[in-house]
Amino acid sequence: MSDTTLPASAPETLRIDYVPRPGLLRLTLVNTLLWAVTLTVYRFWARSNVRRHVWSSVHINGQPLEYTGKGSELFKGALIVFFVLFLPVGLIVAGVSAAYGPDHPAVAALQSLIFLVFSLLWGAAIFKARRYQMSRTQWRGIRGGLEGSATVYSLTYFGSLLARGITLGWSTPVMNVNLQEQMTDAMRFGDRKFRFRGRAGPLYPSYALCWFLTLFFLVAGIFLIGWITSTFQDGAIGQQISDFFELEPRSTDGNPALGYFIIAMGLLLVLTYFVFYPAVWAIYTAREIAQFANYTTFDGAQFRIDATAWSLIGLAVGNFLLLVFTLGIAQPFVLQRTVRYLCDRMTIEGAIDVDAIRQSQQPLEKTGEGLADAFDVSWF
Amino acid sequence: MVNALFFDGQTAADHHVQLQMQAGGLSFDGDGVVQQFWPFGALAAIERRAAGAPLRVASSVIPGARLVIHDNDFAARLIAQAPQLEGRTDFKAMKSAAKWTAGIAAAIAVAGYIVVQYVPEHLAFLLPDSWRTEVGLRTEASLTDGARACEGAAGVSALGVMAGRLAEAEPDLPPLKITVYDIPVMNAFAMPGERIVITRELIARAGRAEQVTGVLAHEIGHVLKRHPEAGMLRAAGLQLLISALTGGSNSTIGSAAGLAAVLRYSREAEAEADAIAVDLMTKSAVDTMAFREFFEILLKEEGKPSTGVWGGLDSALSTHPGTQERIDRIKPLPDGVTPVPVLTETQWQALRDICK
Repeated sequence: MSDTTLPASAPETLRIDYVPRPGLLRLTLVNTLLWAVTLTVYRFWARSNVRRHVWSSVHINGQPLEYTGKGSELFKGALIVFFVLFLPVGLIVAGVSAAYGPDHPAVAALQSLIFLVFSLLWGAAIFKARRYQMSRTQWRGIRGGLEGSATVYSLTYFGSLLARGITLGWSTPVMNVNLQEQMTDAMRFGDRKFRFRGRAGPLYPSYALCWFLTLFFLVAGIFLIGWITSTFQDGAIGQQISDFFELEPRSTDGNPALGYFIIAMGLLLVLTYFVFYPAVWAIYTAREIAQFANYTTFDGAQFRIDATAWSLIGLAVGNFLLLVFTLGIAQPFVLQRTVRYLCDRMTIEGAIDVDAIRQSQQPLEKTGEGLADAFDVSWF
Repeated sequence: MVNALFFDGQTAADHHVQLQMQAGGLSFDGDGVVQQFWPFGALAAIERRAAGAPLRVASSVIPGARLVIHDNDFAARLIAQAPQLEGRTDFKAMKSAAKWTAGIAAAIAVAGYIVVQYVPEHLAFLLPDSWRTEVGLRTEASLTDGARACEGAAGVSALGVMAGRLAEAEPDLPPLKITVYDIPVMNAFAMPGERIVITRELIARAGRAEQVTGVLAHEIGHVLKRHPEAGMLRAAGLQLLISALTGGSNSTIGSAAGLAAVLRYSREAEAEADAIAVDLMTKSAVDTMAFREFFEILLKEEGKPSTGVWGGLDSALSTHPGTQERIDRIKPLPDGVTPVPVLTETQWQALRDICK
């Protein structure tokens, strides 16, 4: 025996590093080329290749993660969903709208029904995609897993959508904690469990802050528009606003103020959607990420993620610009940036007896992410 | 003999093992690991090897197990024995992708043939009449979007005479709904449910009633063969195929241009309609040369750019390609058949004034 032999089974602390590997640009270009050549069918293999690359850059105590998923598995999953779900639904909708005309109430009713069914399936899509990714992620020869029920998760997810609408968003922290708890408690690495324990209470101060800031920006925006409009035409702000909401049929030629109003409104919408809203809510998202990490343990070790609003905004702006200026081709780099962000800011406190972790006994599913691909539930 | 790390796929423990190159494979043992032998052919690289990174090796002998070799010299010697470990290009993944792509291409070809050729031609005759009527109505409304239907009473009656003349030759002809629209583009098209639209401009450009009769006979040919129905089924099928390919379910055949594209038939369909037109005209003793004259008018139009609101419609009665071929295939009436005028001069004038 050499002197490098360590005593068996010593608990060790875990350290996560992102060690970038060369070749992502080449991979991206080849993927894009093949994506075009194969009429987009290559996207499943492309996604798998990129994950393999990014996963292998994540080192835990010097050993990289390994992504073992295959493009053919994703492809088969997508095929199944197409034939089981989308083809029949498409045929039914086409048939009904052909028989009754596209404006018939039956078509609208059918579309609402489909929307409802898809909303119900959305959570399942997320859950099953996570299950696939966990089972295809390996470290030191041991793979992850996700137990638990996609149906329960999906119903909770649907419930959270409803509750969010009814409570004007105020149910979000409670429901997110609930969903995260279900997901985390179902997560496994080998035979060991992740655990999530915590309440939504500590999330509410920052939620309230973001909620009222949003309201403030909304009201301020409306007054800003009124002010801009009134600067270009005589008349009180209130008059302008009420004119608009009464929807008096005026042409923009006849009334320059309405033209300015529409331009200002459009600008405000763009700013709201791409700047104010995400920036404000980064405060809450950062808090949620950090708090969820605090609530998460693995085999006794405690997670921490040092997420801050500014760093999240930086991440989001960078990702957004990357996608916009490359027409989406740089998606692999967006994934890399996001994973790197988490790796750089994640720490694990406490020691784990790594050597004692045994292989997962959960059977491997043969196809992956069909629903998630169809719904474009694309976080990774 | 060099040191390496071994993960057995059973626990997360790392085992320090001693590696040895043997004839035909790699053998190792050590620290809680009984002697293993991995043949070179059973080895696979986990990833493209980066400079300075250890070589990570998997084997089909123990799925999930990994060997991590830090010794560069040994790694180089191993790669010389098992070149697949170089991990330069993932041929296995590419082979799999290529296999799937070929499979999909074949499946698309088969599905494409079924969707484009086989199904529409047959299904077109199985569609319920209520559906065809409904779709025809909506297609007409969409294609003639906003244009006025011309209802000059004398003109409508002249059109009836013209259609009646052709119907004499074809006892099985279903009742037609022929409408002239006040559209400033020369065109005529058939839609599902035995609907035919002729534009005011077409009538205005025609030199005599028999030319319009020729066009009408051609459209009746489409109607009899259910080409519009088949065209729509074809478009719907193609759309389904494309959405299956791209995973998206976007874009519908809603726009007039889209519909016009659907109504642009294949050359075979046009030839078929032409043949029926000549046949109908011959049986009804209508001068077939008039149909030929009309094509000559079309030939002169070719090359003129189509503009305006009706630009999309312009190509529905496309003359490209092979107008000359089509002209050549139109035979004069056989000897002994004297052409009988379709309309009286008054009726023809009434038809020309149908939009006034």
